[in-house]
This record gives sequence, structure tokens and C-alpha cells, in this order.
Amino acid sequence: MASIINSISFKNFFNYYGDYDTTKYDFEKGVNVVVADNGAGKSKFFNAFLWLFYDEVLDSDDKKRKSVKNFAVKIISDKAKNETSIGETVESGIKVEYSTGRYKFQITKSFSATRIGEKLSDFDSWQITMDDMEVDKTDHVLPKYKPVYDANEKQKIISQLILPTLRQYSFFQGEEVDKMIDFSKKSSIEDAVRTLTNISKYEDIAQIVEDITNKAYNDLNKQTKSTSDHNDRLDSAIKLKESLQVQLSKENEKLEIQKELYEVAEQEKNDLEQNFANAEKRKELDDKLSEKNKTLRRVKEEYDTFLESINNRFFDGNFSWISLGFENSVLDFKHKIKEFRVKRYEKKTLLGVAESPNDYFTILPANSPDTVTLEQMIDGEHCHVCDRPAEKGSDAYNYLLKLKNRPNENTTKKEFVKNDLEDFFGNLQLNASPFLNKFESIPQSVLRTREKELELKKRLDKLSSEAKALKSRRKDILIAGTESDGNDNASNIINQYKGSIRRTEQASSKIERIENTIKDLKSKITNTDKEITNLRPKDIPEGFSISYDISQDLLEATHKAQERVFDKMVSLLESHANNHFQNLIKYNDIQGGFLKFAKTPSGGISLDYTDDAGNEVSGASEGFQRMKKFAVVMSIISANTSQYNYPLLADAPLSAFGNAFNKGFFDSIPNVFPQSIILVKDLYDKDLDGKLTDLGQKLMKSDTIKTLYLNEVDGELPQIERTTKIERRK
Amino acid sequence: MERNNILKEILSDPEIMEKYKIKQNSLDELTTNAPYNKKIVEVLSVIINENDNHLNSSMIYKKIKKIHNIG
Repeated sequence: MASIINSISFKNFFNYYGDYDTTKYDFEKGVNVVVADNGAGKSKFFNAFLWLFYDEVLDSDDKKRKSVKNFAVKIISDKAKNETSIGETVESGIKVEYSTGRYKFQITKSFSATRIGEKLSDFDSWQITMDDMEVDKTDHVLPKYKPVYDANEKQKIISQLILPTLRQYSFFQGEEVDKMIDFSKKSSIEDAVRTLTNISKYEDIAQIVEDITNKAYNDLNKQTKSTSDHNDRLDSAIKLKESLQVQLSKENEKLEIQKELYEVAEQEKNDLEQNFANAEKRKELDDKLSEKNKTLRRVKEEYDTFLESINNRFFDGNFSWISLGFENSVLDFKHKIKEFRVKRYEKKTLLGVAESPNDYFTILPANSPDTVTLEQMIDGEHCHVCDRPAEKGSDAYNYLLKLKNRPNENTTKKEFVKNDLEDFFGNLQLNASPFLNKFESIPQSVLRTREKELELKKRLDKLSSEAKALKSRRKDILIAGTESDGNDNASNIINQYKGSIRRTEQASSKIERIENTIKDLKSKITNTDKEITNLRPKDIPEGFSISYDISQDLLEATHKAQERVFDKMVSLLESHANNHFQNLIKYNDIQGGFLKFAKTPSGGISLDYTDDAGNEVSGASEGFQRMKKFAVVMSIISANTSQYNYPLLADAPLSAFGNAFNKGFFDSIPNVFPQSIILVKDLYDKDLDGKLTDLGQKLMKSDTIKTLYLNEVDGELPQIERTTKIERRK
Repeated sequence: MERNNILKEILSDPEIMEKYKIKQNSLDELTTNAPYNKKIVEVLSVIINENDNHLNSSMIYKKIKKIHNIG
């Protein structure tokens, strides 16, 4: 009978604050769902089972498992710690109740922590005492729990919930699914088959039968030698058989070597397939990416040059944009410069008049009389203008001298203001004049420039995102740690890949050859054996011959049965895996391929993903990859002839893969697991009234879902006050 | 149940069935439990059962020799 988890409860375990009876989940046979946002207790729930099975919890900070004892301070609910005064003790623990066909068990693991220091989260502030694990047992007929004292039995009861060898298929967190079945490792599927089927029983039996055959043969020979009735033909037939057997064993050794070579080459091929799902496709992407990067660089340069040219133009003195905002200043300047000039001339004139009134009130026109006439008038001491004598030393004579020196006087300007800004304003006017008729065109120019900038930016962004998409597609084909730039790597991969295929082919043909040789040798041995049987003395007790004969026949039959079982398992796995896969992806719009299991020449199982026409498909999305793995795991479990008796405990198995996959997953798991407890975030939406997404609400109504819990924490409260509230919705 | 299936699977080999005159309907009825109507069934049943009891091949061979009255 299957193990069914009836309940799990917590006491001050992380955010699960309170006693066991206040933080309890009751579960049923079938699918149970715990919906919780990040930080609302999914991983803590999972941690409870890590504690139960391994005395460890996962540290969410570094994703490493820590022993409960060393991590105890962090395990206790912050609120509970805060409420514990120095000297007081707080308890933290988990309690799991599960039942099998006949019994019900209750397992409690806990520890006590006494506060000895101020700092709440400090490991030195608490003294930890691990409590003894309590295991109680009762039968269903007269339910009364009785404690189990025997340590071995306690451990057995825990193991029985999910057998340690099966936990990898039944107890996992999201990304662990990827590690469960590593398609690149042939042995991964074989190991799973070995764990879940009785194929190893046939191997054991074959080994025993072989030993027994050898013993029976030796005993028969001993009997032969002990009788007198034997002859040389018999001796030589026995020797021939021995020599054939030596050859056979050598050929078997060779076969093993070739199988190993095949496996290594096959492994390398699978690794390359996995890491570079399609190296040629990747090379194609590399070429596209390189071309894209070239264009991207060119456009980037164009864009940078464009921006730089705008910047430079601001400083070349002719850029109309710099006058932007000065539209009204022109008129203002006109008025002010006019005013300035009027005032300036007034000042200048007033000063000039005050100092040399005659300069301003002369009746003579400018530059008249000319210099030559003035010389004649001075020499002749007579003014020809007014026709009067101008004797040397007289006022008239001096005036003539002054007129002669007139140009010199004019060049000596007298300062009439402290700082004459006439030139400054004049230059200003002069420099500004080219901009005067450009005001109107500036907004248009800015607009055009901005449009061009946006166009270039848009082109740049488009190219960047195209390059990014190519890189991401390329990354999808690659596996972390093997990423490398350039085409050389892709070419290397293609060469390595082709090399590994060549080596598998070589090993495969050698295996075929050796197998033929082995077949021949076996047939010769059988014939020799027949001859030996005929030549054996008749006085040997019949039992020896029959014993050898039967064991020999059984040896052959066991090997054949082993092969038949293996072949049947492979085809069964294929059919189960495809059924599960189609169920898992049935709500997805994209049609999935088919999973093809095949026996390899080295005796392993290979798994290919093919389309309708049988062509290998590569580069499927992560969601499909995860589903492939689920399908294989589920097939390994469901193809097993006996019923799978353990629950599935999965934390975020399909995180972020979308509704279609989730829906298919919830539909499919009851086909394989008698009970499932799925911790999931994808069904939670805090903005909706019921806090459940459409799919969450649909699942509530579905018959396959037996219980549905919603976890919530008040995120606005400080961490120290935060607790997980469990609400049973179904 | 599993032991019976292994027994049936190994003995279902056509050559064995023919040589030891095992009919399909009697094959379907075979179990690893006594009584055995054929020596080959008894030998294989002992091997299957005692392998489950973790007996090694020498110990199992001793039991088989007794079946053939040569032990």
C-alpha cells in the first residue's frame, strides 16, 4: 500500500509561527496544492521534509544545505525569538503524520533554544538542545499511538515514507528536475531503469547460473576422469572446448573494450549535442550575429558622430540654436542701443562744448582752408578769408596756427565716459545680425535634428535587440560554461561532434564483428559440448549430466530473458513517456515532438526527440525540456510493473513555465503518483480578490485536486513580526 | 509475484519450452513454490528464491546438487 502523508504541522519553524495545532496542513490521497507567493513558506515547507529525511535545511541565502543543529537559530521563527526573554526557552519543530495500508505513523523532530544573549539573530545568543526524534505508531483498527523506541525502526519508518533511492524522483525542487534525468548521460536513464525495475534481478540470476554451470561442468569432468571408461577423443574434445572458451573470453574482453569506446564516443556526442544542440545552427547564428554586430557598430558610430557634431556646432559661432530664446531681445536691444547712443552723444557733445566751444561753433567748413593756403597765410601774416592782417603774435596769427595743426588735435580723442561700450555693443550687433532672420527656422531645425536622432536611436535599439535576440538564441543552444565567442569554437564543436560520431560508428562496426566471432565460438563450443556429451562414459551418475545440461540451458535462457526484459522495458518506457509527454503538453499551443528510446550497441538506452517524420528535433524551449524530463521520470515510475507507492513532494516544479504546462502537469501527476503535494507560486495573484489566478480557480473546481491551501504573509510588517497564515481553500 | 514472473519469463524461451516440454498453459501457472513437476523449474525456482535470501552461488549449487541426487 502506498504511503500517504496525512498532515504536516510546524512549531515556530521559520515563518510558521505558533504551535503545531495552529500551523497545520491536512492532506489527502490525490493532488494537494499549496499556493504561496515568494517568501510565504513554500521553501520552508520543503525544508521540513529535508529535516525529516536528512536532518538538514536549505539556506536560501547560499542555496546550500546546512545541518539543522548548526542552522537552528535561523530556523526559529523571528517572532518567537523576539518574544523569548533572556533565560527563557523556545521550541521549534516539525511533525509529520503518514499512513500506509496498515499503520499510521507520527514523526516529530524538534529542538529547544534558550536565549542567553541580547542579539536576536546572533548564534552566540542561543543555546541549542536537539530533542530526541519521536516516532509513534498506531494501526488503523484501534487508533492509539504508541512510541517506537528502536532507533533502527524509527529510521525505517522515515525511509518508508519515500525510499531513499526513489527520493530523487519523488522529492525535489524546481530546477532539480533538470538534474534528475541528464539526457547527455546515457547511464542516467539506465540507472533510473535499474532503480525502478527488476532488471538487476535477471543480471544477478544470470551470474549465479553462470557460476553454477561452471561448477556443474567441473563436477562432471571430475566424474569423467574418475572413471576408467574414457578415451583420447574425449580428452581432446574437452581440451578443444577449453581452448575455445579461452578464445571466447578474449573476444568478450575485446567486446567490453569496444563497448567502452563506444560509450565514451557516444557520451561525447551526447555532451556535444546537449551543449550545442545544433552546432551548425549555432554557426549560422554566429555568422548572423557577426554581421549584425558589424552593422550595429557602424550605426553606433554614426549615432555618436551625429551627437558629437551637434555638440561641436554649439561652439562654432554660427549655430542658430544658440540664439534660441533671444527672439524678444532683438527689439529690446534696438531700443536700448538707441537710448545708449543718444545718451553717449549727448555726453560727448556736452563735454566737447564745455572744453572747446569754438570747435563746435566754427563757421568754416571742415578742412577749409586747406593746408597750403594756411601756410601762405601764416607766412604772409595775412588772413585771405577775412582779408585782414594777421601779424605774428596776434590772435589772428595764433588762430591760423591752430587751424594748421587741426588734424593732430582731432586724432587726440578725449575720454568722455569711463568705459566706452560703443564698440562692444556695436560688435554685439554686428555678430548677432546673421542670426536675426533665423529665429523662425530654429524650432523646425531642432525638430528635424531630434527626428534624425530618434531615427538613429531607434535603428540602434532595433539592431541591439536583434543582436541580443540572436545572442539569446545562441545561448539557448549553448550550455553555461561552454560559451565562447567567434566561429572557431562552433567549427571545433562541429569537428568534435563529427569525430565522435565517426568513433561511435567505428566502435559499432567492431562490436558487430566481435559479436559475430563470439556467436561462431559459442556455436563451436555447443557442438564440441555435444560431442563431449556423446563421448562421456556411460557409468557417470545421470544427475551430473542433467545438472550441467539444465544449468547450461538456463544460462542461455536467462541471458535471452534479460535481453527481452530490457527490450520490453525500453518499448514500455517509450510508450509511457510519450503518453505522459502528450498529456503534459496537451494545453500548449505548440505541438511537441516524440520521445524515442533506443538500445545502443553498447547495451545502453539512448533518448532522441523526434518530429512526426522521425527527424531529430533540437532547440526546444526550456518548458518543453522540463516536460521531457518529467515525462521520462513519470514513465520510469509508471512503466514499473508494480505500483508506485510513494508521494510526490515538489516545490515549484514548473516555476514560470506558464499556465499551459501547469495545467497539463496537474492533470498528469495523479496518473503516476498516489499522492502529490505541490508547492506553487504560479497560481497566486495578490491583486485579485480571491488571490488565485484563473487556473488556480479552475483547479479549485477540479476533482483531481483534493486540497488547496493559500499561504500569505503580511509583507508590510517588519520581518520580526512576519508570520505565515495558512488558509485552506479546498 | 515478482519471482513467479521472473521464472515464467526465463522459461518462456521457445527452445526451453520445446526441449523440456513445457506447454503455454502450464507456463502461465508456474510458481517458484513447491511442488515442482519438472527439474528445470525446480532448479530455477531454487536459484530465484535463494538469491532473494542472499545465498551465494556455492550455497545455491549445493542445494541444486541435492535436487539431482548428486550432493
